[in-house]
Amino acid sequence: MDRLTKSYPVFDCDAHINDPEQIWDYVPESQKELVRNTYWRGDAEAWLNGDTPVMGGGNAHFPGYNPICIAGPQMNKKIMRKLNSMPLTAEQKAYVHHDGAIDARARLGEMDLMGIDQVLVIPTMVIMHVPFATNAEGVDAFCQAYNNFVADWCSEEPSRIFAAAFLPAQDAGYTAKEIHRAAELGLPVGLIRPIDAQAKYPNAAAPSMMANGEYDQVFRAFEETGMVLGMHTFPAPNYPHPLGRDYLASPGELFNRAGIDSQTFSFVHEMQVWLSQVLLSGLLDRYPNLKMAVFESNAEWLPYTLKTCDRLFKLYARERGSKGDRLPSEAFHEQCVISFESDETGVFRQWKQFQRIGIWASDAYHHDGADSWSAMRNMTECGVPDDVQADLLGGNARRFYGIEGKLFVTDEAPPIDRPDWFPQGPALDEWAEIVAHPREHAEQMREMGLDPMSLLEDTSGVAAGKGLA
Amino acid sequence: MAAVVDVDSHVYEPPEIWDRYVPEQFRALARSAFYHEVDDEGNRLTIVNGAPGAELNRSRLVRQAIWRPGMTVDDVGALDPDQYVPINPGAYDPAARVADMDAMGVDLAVVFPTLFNEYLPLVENPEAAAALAHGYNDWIWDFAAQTQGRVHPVAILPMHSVLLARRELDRVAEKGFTSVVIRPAFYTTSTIEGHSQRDQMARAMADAMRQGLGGAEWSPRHFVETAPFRDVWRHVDELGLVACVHPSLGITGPDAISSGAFAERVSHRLGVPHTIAEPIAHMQDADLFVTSALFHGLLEDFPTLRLAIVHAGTSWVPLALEKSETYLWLSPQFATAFVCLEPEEVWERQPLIVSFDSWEESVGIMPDRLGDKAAWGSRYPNHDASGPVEAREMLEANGVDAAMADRLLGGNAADLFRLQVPVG
Repeated sequence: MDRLTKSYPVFDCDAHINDPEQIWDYVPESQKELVRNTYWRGDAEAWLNGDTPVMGGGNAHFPGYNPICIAGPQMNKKIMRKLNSMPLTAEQKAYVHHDGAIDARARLGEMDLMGIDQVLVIPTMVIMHVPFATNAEGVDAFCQAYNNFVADWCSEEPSRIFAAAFLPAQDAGYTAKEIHRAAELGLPVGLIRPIDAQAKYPNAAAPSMMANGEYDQVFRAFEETGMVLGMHTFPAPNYPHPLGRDYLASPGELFNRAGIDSQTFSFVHEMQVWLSQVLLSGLLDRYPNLKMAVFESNAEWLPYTLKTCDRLFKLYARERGSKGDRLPSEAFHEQCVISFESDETGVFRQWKQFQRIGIWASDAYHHDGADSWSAMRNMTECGVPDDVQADLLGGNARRFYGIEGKLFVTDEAPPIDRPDWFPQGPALDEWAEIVAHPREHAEQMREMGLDPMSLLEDTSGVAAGKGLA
Repeated sequence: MAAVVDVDSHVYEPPEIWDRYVPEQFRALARSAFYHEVDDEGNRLTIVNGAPGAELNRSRLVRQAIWRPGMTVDDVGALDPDQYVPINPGAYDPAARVADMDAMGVDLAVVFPTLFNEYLPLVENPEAAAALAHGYNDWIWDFAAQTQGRVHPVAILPMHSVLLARRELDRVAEKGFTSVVIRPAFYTTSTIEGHSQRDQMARAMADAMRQGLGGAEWSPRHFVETAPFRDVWRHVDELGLVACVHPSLGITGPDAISSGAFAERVSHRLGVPHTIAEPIAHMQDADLFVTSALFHGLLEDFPTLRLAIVHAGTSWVPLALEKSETYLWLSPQFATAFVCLEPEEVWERQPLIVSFDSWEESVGIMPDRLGDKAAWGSRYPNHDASGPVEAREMLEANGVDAAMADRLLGGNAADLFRLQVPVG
């Protein structure tokens, strides 16, 4: 395969850190106990509300590799599947762990290899658990600590590393205040997860029968500061809902209940619920200066959804609350962007519909992450013009965030020289062909110890944990 | 030009079903479990499990049966929501239906229930559900019989009990039905605990997820694709019927039944005056069904099972295949059956179609990617219905050739349903 070159800066709009333990060092001494009883994690354990053990993302949660820190340079799903089936030594685990998930300096080296000039980093298990913390004051203190930490983390290379603030969405007043404070810190994006954690879906912009309109101050704070509202979704949790067991905090919980990895669609479905409300309620008309980024929800579904929303906007012309005449698709194009990942060929085939609103994301180092080189290859194969590739891979995100582009990487790196034990070459391809078609290779699967029951024995203890990265 | 098959159209079930078609000994029981009626002024009565049921509409308009041939979206939007508009007779009267099909340019229509698809999963009494299904099926059979072969009837199943579902399957197959509809939803059903490796693994995974992700108890409902219903799918395949997977808006029940309820419930906080589940609910339920089928090996277990996935668009399919592929590779602990890690291969070899909408431009842009499995549906007489002319114009505008357009507008559906299409 020919190595690629590029002449424009790539901006990775959604990549992750693995919530380093230093975050908690940023909590003032006077609030340490409060935050410890809100959300706290070490390498081997994490606690929500002081009494609920949760999977916080530490390496010790996983008998094999840590799926939150695995998808770095030149990794792919075949390698990870193979690694998943291997007993890894401590040394091997350390080798496949990407330290850039914790350490900013290490991150820069990995960005060079992945063809990423600039990045916006986002937390990981914080998004999963913190919405379910019950003490709003504790959440506010935690978010301040996180945002202070991540602002400092970016200072390692401020022209390359940017970060999104995490917001205490349990309380709209705290959220509005933190938007202003985080904007002062220079964080260009504020994150909210669109779920019904604790039956408080973050959408009450105006007083209604069901809510007091407290979120108006949040959307206004985004408008006032120019900070981008970053909606970031996640795999489905399974925390009790205040309304009872027939009710959900995330639409992705239906996947859990059907016995499927909710990572498949929880991200997408959480966002679709959010976006259909935003687009059909006229929320963007109410806040015309609000800028919203749709993260980690894929993008291929968007054109059809926008078309459908446009039709419904007309069909409900005399029932809808918004009396404006701007179509949902027009509002989206004027005020929003949506992230896409390297393998979304449906986006590339429909590139004309994304050329001003698509922003590329690596999702590194989560196990489904990928580099920019693979995105370029897929785009070229789908006929995306070079100038549009440059916009999709960086220009659109920088324009939206108001960040100056800087080019650091021009050439794709040669293949990394791997140790002998590392899955690679024809042997990996042969192995992958067998496991990809287990019914055709049932006997070989059993001989290799890869029948379903042995997989279960290996992984059941951490099965749920692995479903979270 | 080839015949046009509308693979997704509807009736709006009339009281006649309860009064004449539900077996007499179950009429009181069935009516108490689920009943719906609209009077001449648009006043509604909906009963679910002996109590007032939630309505599909908030205004006086009955949007599921309002569209007539020639109406544009602006025409529908201009209707006064406080003024009742009579239900389109084509939604319950066979002669009116055929006249509408003529006006639309539709040669043959596959016809689905509206109310029964939405409400039947909510019914608590399995015997009442079976009686209701029996009544609907006999009524739609007689309806279709009066359309000179233009309407292809689809029978509904009482998924509340595998025993009753199989019994109704045998009955409708004997009667002559060749298609059944199964809503991708969660049903309360009696279960038999299996002891195979797969069953044990599925239970272990469910326990691990329930505990590891927060510990909440789940309601005693099971998704229709999962193990408790495997015998129903097997029997559909054995009988050689087409399984039509048709989502519903799903806003009249709790979150734990299907996707629409969550979206609808949380949007109340924003004060949106009409449903917001409409652009997403069907697509999400279809995502769930296909992903579940790929993770659990339904298509590999029954490779001859004919499937029609309708009323959800088709744009979601490539993403569903791609997401399933990614996490089948990355999450081996979820693969509780020997399943292929390349879902696109499984999808391609299965006899199936997915309906698309006239405004779904991605089909026109990517006919090579979606065209082999796509089949046009009108959604008649829902307020968002459209005709084949609009669909053909969209395809032509995107450069789809006439042969492919014919496949999309009828050929693919005729092949899957093995229809003898009368060309008018």
